[in-house]
Amino acid sequence: MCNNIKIDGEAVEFVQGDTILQAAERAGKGHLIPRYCYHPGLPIAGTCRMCTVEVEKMPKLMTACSTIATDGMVVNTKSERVLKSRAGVMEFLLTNHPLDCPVCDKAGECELQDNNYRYGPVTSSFLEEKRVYSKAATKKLSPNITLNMNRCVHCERCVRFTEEVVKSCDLMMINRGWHKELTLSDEKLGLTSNYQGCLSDICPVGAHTFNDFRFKKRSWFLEQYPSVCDRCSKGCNISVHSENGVVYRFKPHYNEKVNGHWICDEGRLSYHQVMDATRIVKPLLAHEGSLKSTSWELAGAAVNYLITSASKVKVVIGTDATNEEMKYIQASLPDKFGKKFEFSSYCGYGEDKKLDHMLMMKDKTPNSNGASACKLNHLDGDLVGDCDVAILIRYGRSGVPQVKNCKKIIIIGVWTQKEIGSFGTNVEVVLPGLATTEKSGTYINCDGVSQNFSPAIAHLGEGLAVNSIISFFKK
Amino acid sequence: MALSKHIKDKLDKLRPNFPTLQALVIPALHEVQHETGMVSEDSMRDIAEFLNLPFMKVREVVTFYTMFNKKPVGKVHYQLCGNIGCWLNGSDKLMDHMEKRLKIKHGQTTPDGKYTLSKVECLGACGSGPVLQVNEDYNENLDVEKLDQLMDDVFKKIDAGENNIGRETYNPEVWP
Ligand code: SF4
Ligand code: SF4
Ligand code: FES
Ligand code: FES
Repeated sequence: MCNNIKIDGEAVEFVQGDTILQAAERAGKGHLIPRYCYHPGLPIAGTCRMCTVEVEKMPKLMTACSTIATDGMVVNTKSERVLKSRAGVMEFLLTNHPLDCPVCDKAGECELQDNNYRYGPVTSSFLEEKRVYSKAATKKLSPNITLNMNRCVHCERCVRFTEEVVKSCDLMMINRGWHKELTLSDEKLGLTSNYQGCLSDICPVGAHTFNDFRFKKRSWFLEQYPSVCDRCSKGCNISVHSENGVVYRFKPHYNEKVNGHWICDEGRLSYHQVMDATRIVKPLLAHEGSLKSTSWELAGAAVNYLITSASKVKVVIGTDATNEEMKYIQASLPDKFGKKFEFSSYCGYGEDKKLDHMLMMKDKTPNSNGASACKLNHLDGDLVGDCDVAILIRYGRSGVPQVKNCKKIIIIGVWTQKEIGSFGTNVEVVLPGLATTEKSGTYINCDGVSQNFSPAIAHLGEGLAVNSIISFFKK
Repeated sequence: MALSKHIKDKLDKLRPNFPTLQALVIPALHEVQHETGMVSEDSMRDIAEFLNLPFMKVREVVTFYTMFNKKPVGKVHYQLCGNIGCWLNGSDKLMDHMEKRLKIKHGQTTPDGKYTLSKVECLGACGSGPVLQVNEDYNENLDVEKLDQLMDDVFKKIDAGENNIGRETYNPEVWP
């Protein structure tokens, strides 16, 4: 038996239990059905009436988001009745809307704008005074989120998110009808979840905005490329939003197997590390007691000298390196120098475990499983000791190990001045590498899912991929 | 402050008849309001705790329904429906009239504590609007004349010290 419905005259297959909207999405026709209250990551509410479609043999317009598709259904998403209903919904939503798009941070990625351009009535017959929530016009709900209640369209996505997804129950609607208002369930507690940024993602309008991004950039200037969050072993899929190589935000990128529609706030804000002003992005060489910037050639020659003249070299690779980097380093160094190196990996966060029922993991590095797959043994404890030269390779996420009884230290990867400062004057060379968003590679996440990624932005400094760095170490 | 033993017992008795604990919120609120005349924030928290629900689950119900008093009300609570059915039949004029007569705005209580005037959502008797609920009793198909008469009546009863104003239809045996 086949399951077919017709959408605007075209046969579309669906899976038993799909709603009309889900069937349309499955067939790549989701854009034909506008919606506010529906969000694929949330329970269905069926309250906004934006998604209504005409179904043959049914007297009333049906909500596509909550009407189960049945074999042979004939759906029309463009009939005159449907368009009229959508225009009606739009007009009502806009009666109280402040229409302040020029100063609204969601402008350009706002479903109210988009739908009004497509389906709105263009004019309004509302002459009365608009409802104003004066106390919640710009209200900080938490350090992360600002609410502008005047813009809210009462879809309750955010309420369902806190109730059903993160289960923090910290947002609610009070009152009814004209007076209905989104508010904190408990003013004293505020927002409590670690996934507050998602509120701004799912809010179809500019009611919830994410403070870190607020007023930083108009959304239409941003380029978007997919990547993987490296702030913990979960490896959530993200979309990196940037302009001219400067990252302005991370947003979740849907992946059913890993993070669904969500990411945590810590991961969302972790782009600051890539953009950190104290990150070292030029090769440095020790000279007269301090580190001075130098050329790749000179730095490479210094490394060459250090390694050739050392009898015992230990290499510690952070569990924030990609599989490719780990394999390449382990193969190329012995090959190049014709001697033995002692390789190990370092994480710095102990045994991994889930921190909540959602995504966050205790291991704040992305590739501990990759390190095991690349046959790297864990560093014993937190100490690198007793060798002539220690090469420390890490990409900004793993912990910084302690170093004792090593004559010289070579640093490779993503480091800040402060992190390097902890080693004192033993650091001889610093070779900047590429962060996750700037390179390609593979991580294996905490559940064993192997994920490839490509560069999402161009690196703005002089940092290089690890194979290029090693190519400067002469034979 | 916790829920009274009487209320707890009554809710425990009702429990088996309700599919979920959340479904017991409304009966619990009615009981509290019956006992104390209103639903305070403290009692919302008590109910949430007793029914093992997040506080918001109780608060949203209380604020949704105009029938739950968030503030103390007077001896007589006038609740005039302001929804579309009654409004089309002139409830706004009745409201103006009542505000003038009682010298308060809706949402307020007279200084002597005798009257509270509220504008409420649909009372479910739209067919015979405008509808005014006086304490428990409904008064339907009102116009200004009938309203005046009704208010005179209530005035006399209060004056006579009567205690059961607007409770003719109230039957404690019926839920709640
Ligand atoms: S704040 Fe946004 S998500 Fe929440 S109800 Fe309003 S429009 Fe919907
Ligand atoms: S849960 Fe981990 S991988 Fe996912 S967004 Fe947060 S830090 Fe990044
Ligand atoms: S999306 Fe279907 S009713 Fe809101
Ligand atoms: S509109 Fe007044 S009772 Fe329904």
